[in-house]
Amino acid sequence: MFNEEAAIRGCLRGSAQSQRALYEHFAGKMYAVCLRYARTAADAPDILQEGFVKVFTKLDQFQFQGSFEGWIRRIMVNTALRAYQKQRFDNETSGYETLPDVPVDPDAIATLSEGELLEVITRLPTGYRVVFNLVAIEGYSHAEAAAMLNIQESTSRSQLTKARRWLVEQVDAMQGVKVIGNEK
Amino acid sequence: MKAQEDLDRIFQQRLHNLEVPPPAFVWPAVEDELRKRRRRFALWLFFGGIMGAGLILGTWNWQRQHALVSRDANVSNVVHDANQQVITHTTPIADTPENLNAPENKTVTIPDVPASSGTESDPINTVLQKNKDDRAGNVKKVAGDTKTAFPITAGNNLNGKRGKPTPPARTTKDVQNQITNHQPLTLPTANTPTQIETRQPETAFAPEVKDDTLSSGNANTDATTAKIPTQNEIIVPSFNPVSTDAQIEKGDDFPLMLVLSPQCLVFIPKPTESSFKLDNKAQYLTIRKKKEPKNCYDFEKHRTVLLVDAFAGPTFTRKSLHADDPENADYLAERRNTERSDWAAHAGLRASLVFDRHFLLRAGVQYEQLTEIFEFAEYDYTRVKTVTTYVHGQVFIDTLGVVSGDHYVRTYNRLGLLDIPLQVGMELRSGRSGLSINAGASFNVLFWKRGAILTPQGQPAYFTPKDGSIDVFRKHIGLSAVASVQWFYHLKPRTRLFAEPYFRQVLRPVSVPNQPIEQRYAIWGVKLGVTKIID
Repeated sequence: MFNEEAAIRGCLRGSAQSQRALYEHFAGKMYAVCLRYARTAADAPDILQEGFVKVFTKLDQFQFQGSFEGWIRRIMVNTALRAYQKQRFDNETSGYETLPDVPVDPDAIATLSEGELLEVITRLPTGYRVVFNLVAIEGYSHAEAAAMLNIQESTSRSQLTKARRWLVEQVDAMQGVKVIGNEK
Repeated sequence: MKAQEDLDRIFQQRLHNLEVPPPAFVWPAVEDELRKRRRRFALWLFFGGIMGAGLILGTWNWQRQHALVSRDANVSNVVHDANQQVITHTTPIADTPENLNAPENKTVTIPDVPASSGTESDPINTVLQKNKDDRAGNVKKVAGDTKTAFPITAGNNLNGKRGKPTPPARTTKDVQNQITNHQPLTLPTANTPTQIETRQPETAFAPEVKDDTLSSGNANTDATTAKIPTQNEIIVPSFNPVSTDAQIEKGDDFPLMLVLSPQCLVFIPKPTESSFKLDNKAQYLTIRKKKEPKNCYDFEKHRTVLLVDAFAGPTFTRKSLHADDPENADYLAERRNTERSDWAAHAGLRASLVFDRHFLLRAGVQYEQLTEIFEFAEYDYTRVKTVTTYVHGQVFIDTLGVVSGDHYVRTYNRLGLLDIPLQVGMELRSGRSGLSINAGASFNVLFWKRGAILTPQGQPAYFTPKDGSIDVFRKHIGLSAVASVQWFYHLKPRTRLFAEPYFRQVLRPVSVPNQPIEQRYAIWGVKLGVTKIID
């Protein structure tokens, strides 16, 4: 049975066993986070490795307040964003555009497995994917996401809208059915 | 809008807590990285400790030397009596002609009497016996002559016990009062009194005394006569002659001894019988000062000098190749099979600031060239050269040529490192030779590379920076930790030869981070060079 607090305190003492236990407990969830943010699937293990090194070296900064999983997740997201910013191309950012809403068929998406959804996410263009992950999945506001990515808030909104439209198209293609709105 | 929120919600619900098993190699990589960080931290701690200790030692030594030099213009007279009370008086050295001509300053007469030779036939002791009762008066006389008498702190009393010092007297009169109010010395033998005579400097200076020898002194048996120390001698007069002698004879614990002369103030740590000779007749305790060897630079005189080194020598390297991902194990083995070390050498210039005689700050420029041999052979090799043409969306491939045979590539890979080493050190000298211990860091300013390497696809490729080459090495290798030990030998006072074994650990991998194989270097060698001393 995994005891989170005992594992954290063991890591603070430098126990290799506690580090291993902590890693094994959180690695699966964090690897999924890394896969969502990584530019390519090959980058995800690097992000996970760097993120866990940061977790273990900065563990003394955890105040035992709030969720430890949330703390690790934030480190992983920040590590992934740093990797993204290192490789970012300037032309990926764009201004706000008024884009039409695309109707979504929830049933069509619900039929997809988690693995397929993850695959759809990873196929998103990088700029869209990062904003969609931050705002739609992690729950950050556009202002927070814009600050984290060092972009305009309007750009964040625009990227999210484009990401949604792109996702709908991809889901539609995977399902082989037409989205209702497109038929009108 | 509702539909879009639904989309977000569905993705959030399905993906937020999704778990995907990570690849197996991630955890070993995390462990390895943590281990490297700990090792790097320990290394920094080690070198930081060395540098900090050097700095503290240097500061402490500088302060100590500074304090001694500032006191060099003063003579501290310490009178140590049998009741274990130390009376101290400090007056400036009288170097002016007026002071030298003053009657009290012409006296440089310090008696010394052996403790165990007190027989009636001994003329010295006979005289001293006659003057036994005048001892207190003599003490008073010396106290009056404190401006020129050479003082000594014996530290121990006759019983071998250390006394508690009284607060120092402020004036000569205070000293006199304190001394006259004291009990006479309790001597171990009955015939060991003290006599002090005053003499003119001309007569007090013993002509028989030869420089650089243990003095036999002036054979004046009527009285004990001190002499002015020559440049090569330090006369250690004993105000309490019996105690000095007793300590020598009995081998008592002799503590750190403060010796004052007009030129210097020094601490002599625990002299032994073999280190000095007591002359009964002249009653001098003369310590022979070590003769300055020829071809030695006088660091006592020039405490801060600049050393300029030019050096070159052989270098040896240890290259370590490491693959984080077990999937790259085959590639790692191939890399090891195709690369081997060849010759390496270094050369450089360095300037070292010697401060406070023993401490060094070193900086310079050093170039190291490492050579390796890359050898690749592939038999039954066929290379097809083609050209691809796109016409209206259609692809046409034409074969330009086919080459068959053995594919053999051999290159001399050359890596050049230009660095600025910064070190602190400490130098210890003995005669014409000496040792210095140095540690610090080396900053890479140029990393020059030419050669070929095996790619993960199993083919040789050139990493020489140019179009079409692969990116294997970093632009700069960054920081290295360095340590060395130098042995030197003075050919001339300002010229030295030296040999300096050194070790250098490049802290970061020299390969770029996205390379599947991490390449590191540890370098050692021997600097052979010449040093010129500039003051």
